[in-house]
Amino acid sequence: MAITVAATLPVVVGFTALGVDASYVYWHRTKLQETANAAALAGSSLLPDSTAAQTAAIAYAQTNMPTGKYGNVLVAADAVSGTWNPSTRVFTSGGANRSAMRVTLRSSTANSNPVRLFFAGIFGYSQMNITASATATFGSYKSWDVIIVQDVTASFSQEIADARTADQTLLSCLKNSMNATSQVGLTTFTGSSQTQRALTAMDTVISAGPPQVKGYDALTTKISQLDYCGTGSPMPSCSGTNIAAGLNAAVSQFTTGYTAGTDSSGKAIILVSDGAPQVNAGMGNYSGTCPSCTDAKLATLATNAANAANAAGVVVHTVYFDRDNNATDRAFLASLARGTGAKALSTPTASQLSSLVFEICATIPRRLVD
Amino acid sequence: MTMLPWAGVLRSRRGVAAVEFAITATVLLSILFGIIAFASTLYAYNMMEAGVSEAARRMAVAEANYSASNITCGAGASNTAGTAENIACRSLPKWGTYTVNASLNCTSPARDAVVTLTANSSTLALADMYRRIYNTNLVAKATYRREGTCP
Repeated sequence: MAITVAATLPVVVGFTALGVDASYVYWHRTKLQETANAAALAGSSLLPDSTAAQTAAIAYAQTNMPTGKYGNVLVAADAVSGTWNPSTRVFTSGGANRSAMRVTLRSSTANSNPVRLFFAGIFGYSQMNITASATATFGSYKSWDVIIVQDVTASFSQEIADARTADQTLLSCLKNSMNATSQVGLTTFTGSSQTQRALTAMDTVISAGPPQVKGYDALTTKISQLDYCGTGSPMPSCSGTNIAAGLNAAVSQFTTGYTAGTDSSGKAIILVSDGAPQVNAGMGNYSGTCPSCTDAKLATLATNAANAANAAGVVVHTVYFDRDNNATDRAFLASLARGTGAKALSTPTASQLSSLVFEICATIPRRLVD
Repeated sequence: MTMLPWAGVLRSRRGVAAVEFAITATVLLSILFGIIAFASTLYAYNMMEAGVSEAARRMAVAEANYSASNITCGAGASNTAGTAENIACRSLPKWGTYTVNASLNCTSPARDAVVTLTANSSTLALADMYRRIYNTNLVAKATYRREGTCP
C-alpha cells in the first residue's frame, strides 16, 4: 500500500500541479480577453481621432489590469486604429476616416510580463506567453434612415468633387455599420429642390439586372453624378440658395408614406451646404412660399423647416463648407442643427468635408467584431 | 521463557494495511480536497471576472440600470433582474456570497462604468487563505468606457 502510494504520488502531485497551473493560465486568459474587449471598445469610442483612441485604449487596459500587478499588457504599437471590412472580415490599419480599433494584449516575454507558473517550473516551464486580441468598430444591428440634402449652387462648382467624396463616405459608413434595411436618399437644392434618390432601403432591389442594382448602388451612382447647377446637368437650375426647399423636400419623405427600417434607431437629415440662404431674382416668389423675398425671409423659412424636421423626429446635422471664414453664415448653419446628438460642423477646406461627414457616422454605437 | 504480554502484538502483522491506509489517506485526501477547494475557488473567481465584465459592458452601453449602494448577492440572495448587479451575480456559484458594487463615474474626462465584485472570504474555500496571505479579499473589477451620454 505505502509503496504503491509512494510510487504514484509523483504522478498525482504532477497532475495536481498541472491542474493548478492550467486553471491559472485559463483565468489569466479570461482576464486578458475581457480587458482587451474593454480597451477596444473604449478606444473605438473616440474614433475617428486615432491619437485619442490609442490613449484611451491603453488607459482602459491599464485600469482593468494595473501595471503594478500585471506589467504593461498593452503597448502603443499593439493599439492600432484603422478600418474594418464587414464582408471580408478583415481589419486594415491606418488610412483616413478610421472606424475600427484593434488591440492585442500580451502577457508575454515581448512585454516583459509573461504569466508565471507555480509548479510547471519543475518540468522546465516557469512561464507562459498568452495574448488576447479584440477589434471594435462602428456597428449597430438597428437601422438608421438618412437623407443627404446637398447644396449644388454655383458657388459649389469648384468643390463638387469633394462633396461627392463626402456623401459617398457617409453612405459607405452607413452600409458598413447599420443593418441593410436602413433607408438612404439624396436631395439636391439651389433655389428649388430636386430629389435625386428618394428614401430607399439599401438592400432593396431596384433593378434585377444583371447587373443587379440595389438601393445602395443606385444612390452611389447618383452621388457620382452630383454636379453643380449651371452645367445643363440634371440638377436644379442656378437660382440662389434656398435651404428651406431642400429641408422641406427631405422632411416630407419622412412624414408622408414613410415606414421606418427594421428596428429603427432614428432618422436624420444631413445638410451639406456652403452658404446661408440667398435670394435670386429669377425665382420670383419661390412658388408662393416667399412673397417679396429677402435673404432674411429665406433664412426664417430654413429655420422653420429645421423646426418642422425636429417636430417629425428627424435629427438635422449640418455640415458647412466655410470657404470665406464667414462667422455669420457659420453661426446660421449651426443654428439649423436640431435634435438629440445633432452635430453642427464646419470647415474652410473642402477636402475636409469627408472627414466632417464621417464624424456624423461616428455617432453610431460601437461593437466588438473580432 | 516468559513472554512480555504485548510482545505478540508487536510481532503481529495483522492490521498493517489499515495503519498504512490511515497514513497515506491523510496525504491523498489532503491533495484531493485541496484540488476541490482550489478548483471551486478558481471557478468562482473566473465567474466573478466574467460577471463584472459583462455587467460593466452593459452599463457602458446604457442597457443596464444600477443601484448606487453595495448589494449582497449569491447563495440565494436576489436582486432586480436586468440591473448591472444582477448581471454580475447571476452566474456566480451558489456556495459563496459576494458583495457587488456598480458605479458610473461621469466626472469629466472620465466616463467609466465600474463594477466590482468582492467574495465573502468565509464562504469560499480558499478565499480565506488568500486573504490571510495577500491581506485582501478576492476582488474582480471591470471598467468600461460609457458610450453616448454620461448622465
